[in-house]
Amino acid sequence: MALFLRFAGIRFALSIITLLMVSLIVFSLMELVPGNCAERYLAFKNTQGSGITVEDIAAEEARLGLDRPFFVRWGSWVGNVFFRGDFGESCILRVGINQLLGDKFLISAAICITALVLAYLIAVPVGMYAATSRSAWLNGSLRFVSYLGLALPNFLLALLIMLFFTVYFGDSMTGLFSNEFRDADWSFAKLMDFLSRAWLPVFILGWSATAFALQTVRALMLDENGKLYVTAARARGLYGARLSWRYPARHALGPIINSLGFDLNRIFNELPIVAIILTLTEAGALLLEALARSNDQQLAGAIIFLLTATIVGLNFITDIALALIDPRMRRSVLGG
Amino acid sequence: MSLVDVQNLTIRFETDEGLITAVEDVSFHIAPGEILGLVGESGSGKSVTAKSLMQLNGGNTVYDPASRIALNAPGSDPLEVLSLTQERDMGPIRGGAISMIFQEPMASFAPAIPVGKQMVEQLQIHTDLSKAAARDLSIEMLDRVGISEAAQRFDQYVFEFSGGMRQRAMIAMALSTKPKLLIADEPTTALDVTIQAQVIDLMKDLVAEFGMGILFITHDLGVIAQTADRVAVMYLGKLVETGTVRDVIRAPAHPYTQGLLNALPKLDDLDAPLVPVPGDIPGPLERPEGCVFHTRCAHAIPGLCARKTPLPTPQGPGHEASCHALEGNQGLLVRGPL
Amino acid sequence: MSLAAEPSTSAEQKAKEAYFTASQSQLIWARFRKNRSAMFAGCVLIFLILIGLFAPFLSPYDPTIAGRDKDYTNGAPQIPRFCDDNGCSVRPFIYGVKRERSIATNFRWVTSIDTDDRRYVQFFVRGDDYRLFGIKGDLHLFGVDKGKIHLFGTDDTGKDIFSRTLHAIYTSLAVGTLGVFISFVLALVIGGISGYFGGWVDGVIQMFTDAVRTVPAIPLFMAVAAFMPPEMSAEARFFYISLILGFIGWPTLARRVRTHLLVERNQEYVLAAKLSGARPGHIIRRHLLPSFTSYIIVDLVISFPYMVLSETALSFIGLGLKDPVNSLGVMLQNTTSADVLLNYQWYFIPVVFFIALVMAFVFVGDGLRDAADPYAGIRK
Repeated sequence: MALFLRFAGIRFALSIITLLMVSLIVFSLMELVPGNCAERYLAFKNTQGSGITVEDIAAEEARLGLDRPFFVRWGSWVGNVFFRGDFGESCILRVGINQLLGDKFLISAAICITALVLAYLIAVPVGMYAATSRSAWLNGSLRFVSYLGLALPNFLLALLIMLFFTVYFGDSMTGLFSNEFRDADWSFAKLMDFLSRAWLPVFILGWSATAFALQTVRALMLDENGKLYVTAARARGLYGARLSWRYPARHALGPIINSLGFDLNRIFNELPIVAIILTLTEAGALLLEALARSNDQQLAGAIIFLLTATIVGLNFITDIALALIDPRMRRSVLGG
Repeated sequence: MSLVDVQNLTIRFETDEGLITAVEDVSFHIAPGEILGLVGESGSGKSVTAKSLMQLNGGNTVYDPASRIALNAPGSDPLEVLSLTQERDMGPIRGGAISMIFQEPMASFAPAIPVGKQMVEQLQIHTDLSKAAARDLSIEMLDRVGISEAAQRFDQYVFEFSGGMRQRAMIAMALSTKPKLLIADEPTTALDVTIQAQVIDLMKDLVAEFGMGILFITHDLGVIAQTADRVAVMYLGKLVETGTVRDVIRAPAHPYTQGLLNALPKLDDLDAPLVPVPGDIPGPLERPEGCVFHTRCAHAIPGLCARKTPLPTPQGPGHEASCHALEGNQGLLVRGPL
Repeated sequence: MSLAAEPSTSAEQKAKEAYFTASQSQLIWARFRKNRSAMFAGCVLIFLILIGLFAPFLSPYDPTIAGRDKDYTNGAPQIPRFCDDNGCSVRPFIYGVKRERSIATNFRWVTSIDTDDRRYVQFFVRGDDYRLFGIKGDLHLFGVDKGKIHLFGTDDTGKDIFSRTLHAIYTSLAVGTLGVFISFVLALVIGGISGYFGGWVDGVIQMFTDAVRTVPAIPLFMAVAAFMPPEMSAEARFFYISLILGFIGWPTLARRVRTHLLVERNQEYVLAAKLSGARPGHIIRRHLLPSFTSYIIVDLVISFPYMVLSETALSFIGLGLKDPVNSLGVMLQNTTSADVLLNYQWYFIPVVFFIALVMAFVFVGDGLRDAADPYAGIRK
C-alpha cells in the first residue's frame, strides 16, 4: 500500500509538473500576443467614446501588475490558479473569469466525456468482433467508416446534419436548451430539456472519436490475437468468447485505457468548432467568442488551461488504473 | 495400435500470392510411450505438422482431402481429427488428449494472468475437479517438475519466473491433464545447455511414468540422439528419411540427413572441418519440382530428380528414405519415363 | 559442385535478381501496386492534384470578386444538356436566366430560366487573365458563347463556385505542403537532437513534447491565429497559417523521428558498420537515413490530411485564411445561416471534393504504410 501511495504520489507530482509546463506554454502564448490586457481594455474603452492617453495605459498596467517581470506574473497567475482556483479577470469584460465560465465548463466537459464513453462503448465490442471475424465485407466496411470518420471531420458532419434537419424538419436542432429554459435555474425539467438537445453534439463529437477508437481497438486485438499465448491458450482447449475475453481482450485493455487521454484531446479539438455550428452556449463557444470577437487573452488562456487540465487529470486516472490492471506495474507499485 | 497415425498429410496456406504448400504427403505414427523426433531446418514444416494434430494452424489453412490424422487415445473412441470442423469439438482434444509445449515459455503464458490460474483453467476444462482440487493438483504438478515453493509460485506471473522455471511450469501444465500425446515444439531451444539437459531428463522421466507418446520437434540432431526412440527428418514439408535413432544416425541414407550429420562436430576428431549443407533452403514460393532437395543435392540425377518425386524406399527394418539415387543403388524401384 | 540441376530461365533469374537488389523505395512501390484500393486512391489523388495545379486554366472564371457574375448571385448550378423540347444539339448548352425584382415579387430578386435562350458551351475560350506557373494567360478550358456558365452555381456575391472549388483544392494542397514541410523540419531537428543525444536531453525534450501534445492543438492555435492583425495581407496570412499548421503537426512526427533514430542507432548493422571502420557521416548517410526516409515519407503523407482539415477548420471559424484567398473553410463560412441551409444547398458541393481529397490521402498514406512495413499486414 505504501508503495502504491508512493507511485500515485510520484505520478501526481508528474501531472503537476506537466500542468506547470502547460501553464507556461499557455501563459507565454498569451504574452506573445501583440498588446497587453491594459491596452486592449483601454482600446476597447476608446471605441466606446472615452479618450485615453499613454498615462492611462501605464496606470492601468500598474493596476493590473503588468509592469512586473514575466516570471513574476506567471508565478502569480499559476499560484492563483493552483491554490485559489482563480483565473483572474477577463481583459475586456472586467468580470471574474470564474463567474463568466460558471457551469459552462462543466457542461462542456460532460458533453465531451459522454462522447468519449459512447465512442468506446461502440468501438470495443465492434472492434473486438471485427478483429476475430474473417469477413472481408465487415472489415472492408469498418475500414471505410473509419476513413470516413477522419475525412468527414465533426464540423462538416455537423453542417451536413444541420442541412438535413433544416431541409426535412425545418428545425436546425441547434443550441443546448430550448428558449424557455435558456436562463432558468437548473431543475429536473431543464435537465430533461438539456438531455433532449445534448445528444446531437454528443453524437457529432463522438463520431470521429468512434471511428478512431474502432481502428485502435481492432488493431490492438489483432496484435494480441497473433501472440503465442493466445495459440497456447487454444492449445489448452479454450475457444470462442471465453478465449477472446479472457486472453486478447484482457491484455489489449491496457493500451486501450492508455489511448483515452489522446481521444479526449481530439474531442476537445473539435469542440469549439462544433459549438459554433450548433450555437452551443458552453466553454468551447465562449473560447471562440473570446478569440474571434473580443481578443480576450485572459479568458482564452483560462479555457485552454482548463481543457488541458482535464486531459492531464484523465491521464493521471488512467495511469493509476493501468497500474492496478497490469500485474507487472501492480507488483512494483503494490509490492508482494 | 499406434496412438496417432498420420497419413498423406498435405497442408497448404491461402495467401495473397496464392496457395503455398507447407507440408506435402507426410505419413508417420507414434506408439504409446514412444518418442518420435521430428528434425529439420526452420521453415521445413515441422511446427505446421505438429499444430495440425490439434488443428491449431491459422484460418487460412487448407488440408488436402486425402489427409488423415487418426487419434486412438486409450480409453476413448478413435477419432479422425481433421473431420472436426468446430472449435467446440476440438476443445476436449486440445489440452486433454494432446498437450503442447511451445518454444518460448515466456510468450506462451498470458502475461497478465497468474501462472496457477492458467493451470487451473485448463484442469477445469478437461476434468471434473473442483477449483480447490484443481489448485492442489496444479501445485503438486509444479512441485513434481522441480519448482520449489510451488504454493507461492502458483500465484505468481510468468515474468516472475526464471527461464528454466517457465519451461518446467509449461511442462507441469501440459502434463496436468494426463494427455496421451505430448507435442514438444523445440522445448529446449530457448534454454541454456545445462537447463536443457535437466528439462530433457525431466521429460523422459515423465513419459516413462505416464506412458504417453511424445512428438519431439527440434532442429538439433544432438538433442534427438539423447531423447528420441525414432526420428523423422523433414525437408521442405516432406519426410525424407525415417527410422530408429540408432539406424538414422549411424547409417544415414538420404543425402540431406548425411549433410545434417556432417554439419555436426565429431567427437573422435574435433579438428575436422564442419561441412554445412550447401546452398540455401528455397523460399516458400519457389518450391522445387520433383525431389524437393535436388537443388542442393550433390547426388542429384540430371533429368530425373527435377521431374519425379521419389517414393520412400526401405533401407532396413523400419528405416525408409525417399531418394532416387537410393532406388537406383538397390535396383528396386526404377520405373517411369526417364 | 554443380547445385542447380535445371538452370532457371534467364527471365526468372532477372526477376529474382531485381528482387534481391531492389532499393527500399522500389520494394515499397512493388508492394503498394498490389493494393488495389490504395492504387485507386492514388489515381484520384493525382487527378485532384492536377486539377489543383491547373485550376486557373480549368476554371472558367476568376475565383475572386473580379470574376463575379453580378447578374447571377446565389444562382443555382447550371447543368449542360444536349436535348430539350426544342430539339437536340451536338454541342451542349445551358439556358440563359432573367432576373426580376418588382412589386410582383415582393421586391425580392427572382430568377427565371429562359428556355428559348440557349447558350452553347465553347472550349478553349479567352476570358479572365491569370497566372499559371508564372506565365500569364487568358485561355480557359471552357465557357459559353454569351453570358456565363456556373456548373456548381454561384455564391452571394456571384462568384463561380466551380472556379472557387478548383482554386480551393490548390490552396489546400499548398497550405498542406507548406505545413507538412515546416513540421517536418521542426520534427527532424527536435526529434533528431532528442534521438541523437539521448540521455537527459532526450528526457527533457520528451517531457516538453508530451506537455505540448497534451494541450488541445486547435484551441491553442486558434488562440495564436486570433491575434493575427486583421490588416495582414493575404499572402502573409497564408504563410502564418502554414506555420501554425506546422506547429500543430511536429510533436507526433518528432516522436517518430526520435524513435526511429533510437532504434536504428542500436541496430547490429550499424554496429557492424562501425566495427568495419565506417565514419559517422558515412553511417548516417548510407545506413541510418535510408533506413527510415521511406517511413518518414509515409508519416508525412499520413499527416497531410490533418493539415488540410485543420486549415479548413481554422478558416471556417474565421481565424484562418480569408477572402480573397479561396479555401474550403472560407467557402463554408456562411453556410450555417438558415437562408443558405434552406435555399442554397449548392454551397455544399465543394465538401464532396474535399472528402475525396482527404480520403484519397488517407488511403494512399495507409497503403504506403502497409507497403513500407510489410509485417504490419501479415497479421490477419
